[in-house]
Amino acid sequence: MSGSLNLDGRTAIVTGAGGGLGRGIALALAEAGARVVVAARRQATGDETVNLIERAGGRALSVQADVSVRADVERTIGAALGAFGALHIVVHNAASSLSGIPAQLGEISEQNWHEQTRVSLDALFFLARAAYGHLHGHGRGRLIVLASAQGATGGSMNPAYAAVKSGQRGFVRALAREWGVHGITVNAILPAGLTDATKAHISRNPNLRELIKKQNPMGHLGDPRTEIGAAVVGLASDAGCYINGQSVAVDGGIITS
Amino acid sequence: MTQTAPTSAAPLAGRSIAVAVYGRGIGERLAAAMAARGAKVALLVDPPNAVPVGTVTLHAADFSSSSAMRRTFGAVAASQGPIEIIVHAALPEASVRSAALIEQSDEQWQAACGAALDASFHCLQGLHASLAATAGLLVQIGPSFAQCGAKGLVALSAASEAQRGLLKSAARQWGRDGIRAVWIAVAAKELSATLAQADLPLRSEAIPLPLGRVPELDGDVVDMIAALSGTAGRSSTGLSLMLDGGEWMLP
Repeated sequence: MSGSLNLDGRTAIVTGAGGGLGRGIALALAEAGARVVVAARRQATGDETVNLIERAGGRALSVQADVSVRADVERTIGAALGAFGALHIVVHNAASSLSGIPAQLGEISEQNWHEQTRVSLDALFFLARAAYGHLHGHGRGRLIVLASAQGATGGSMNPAYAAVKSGQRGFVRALAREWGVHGITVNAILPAGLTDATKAHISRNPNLRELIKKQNPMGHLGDPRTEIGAAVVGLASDAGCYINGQSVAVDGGIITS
Repeated sequence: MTQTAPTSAAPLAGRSIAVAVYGRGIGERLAAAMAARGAKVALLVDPPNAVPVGTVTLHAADFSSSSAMRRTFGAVAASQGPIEIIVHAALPEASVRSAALIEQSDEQWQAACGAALDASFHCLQGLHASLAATAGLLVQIGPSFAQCGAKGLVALSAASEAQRGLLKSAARQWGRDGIRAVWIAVAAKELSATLAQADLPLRSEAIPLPLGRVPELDGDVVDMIAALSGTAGRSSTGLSLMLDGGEWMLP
């Protein structure tokens, strides 16, 4: 890839990159030239993503990490610096596996609540704090958070998920004001992506396919690499250098305000 | 479930209201202002060192437990009648102190963001049964700047927006119970003297407020709660109201 979308020479960390949107984003960043650190809770899934990147001619490193644990975050950043010598882009995509399970607010357990706040908010704090010294100083620092439209509109399916995703947007806006002066941009993406998990969900509920067609002006959910990942590349690249503090809906037009 | 639809010129008079505030400062003002309009008001506070005001009854509240909050709301309903309006805010002192994110310890982050968010989670879980019994109104109050962000206040911005997301989800799930939930965003200086000194993106001395003054918690905000609790508000839930004199004009 050439021009302002080229990420040659830059290093990116993608959390939750063992599958789904995170894998698509990692593949897109590598395709744009970035060296990618694939952070995944399970080593095997992270290794699969690295294999896909390497087979396509890219460079990547797999790190097993639970990003809700500060030491794992710091170890991941250390691994990125050790392998590639620098850090330019951090993409926080990881979310709790509990986030997709429908729940009434009154029935959400303490354990469920705290797992979701840890993975989405505490991990974001750990990542930002640990990465700052490396994102700062070269003018190309990027922190990109995969939030959700449910954070903007509220969600009847899982209130804890909607809460933490809304919290991520507040985090992004405030940190963008704090870090802009240091040449680091901070943005959120609100994706509507078609992951393997979503495909399985649709196959079990055929009516969902028609519902998605009706709700989405473009008639389909976004491909993790070519549609969601491409938007991340745009924000991470020089083309995104003056976009800061934004929540960008990459959803085919589901949210239009 | 009994539908509430007061239409009098003094819509708070005689209403049973609970003000549940985690953190210092604003609960007393809100409770006193609503009691002055004739409401029966219980003030649920943590830390429990509020100063009694007029006819307001004080209740020490444990915002670290949903079941404890449920019991406290139940006790309020038993003592002053089924609760029709609950006003909530969670602004612990740690959250209103400005600090660069990279200088925050894990403990400071938890005290500023995690504690505020947990308090709202427990409060909302605890209040549902009481408010469903009257098809009542939940109003949550937070700082207006959180919808725009402010440097040095990342934890509070994250917590406040997470609270707002949680409230919207409650509105979606509880509409069938007749419960309405509304977010009111107010100027920082009305919430905390510490926040009033923060380095906020817009300051009224630099950019004059369109309406020329900062709306007051115990006047303008209580007026809005009264309006929302009456027939004018019966179709509204899940919305966010910026009572900031036109400072931000969001969304």
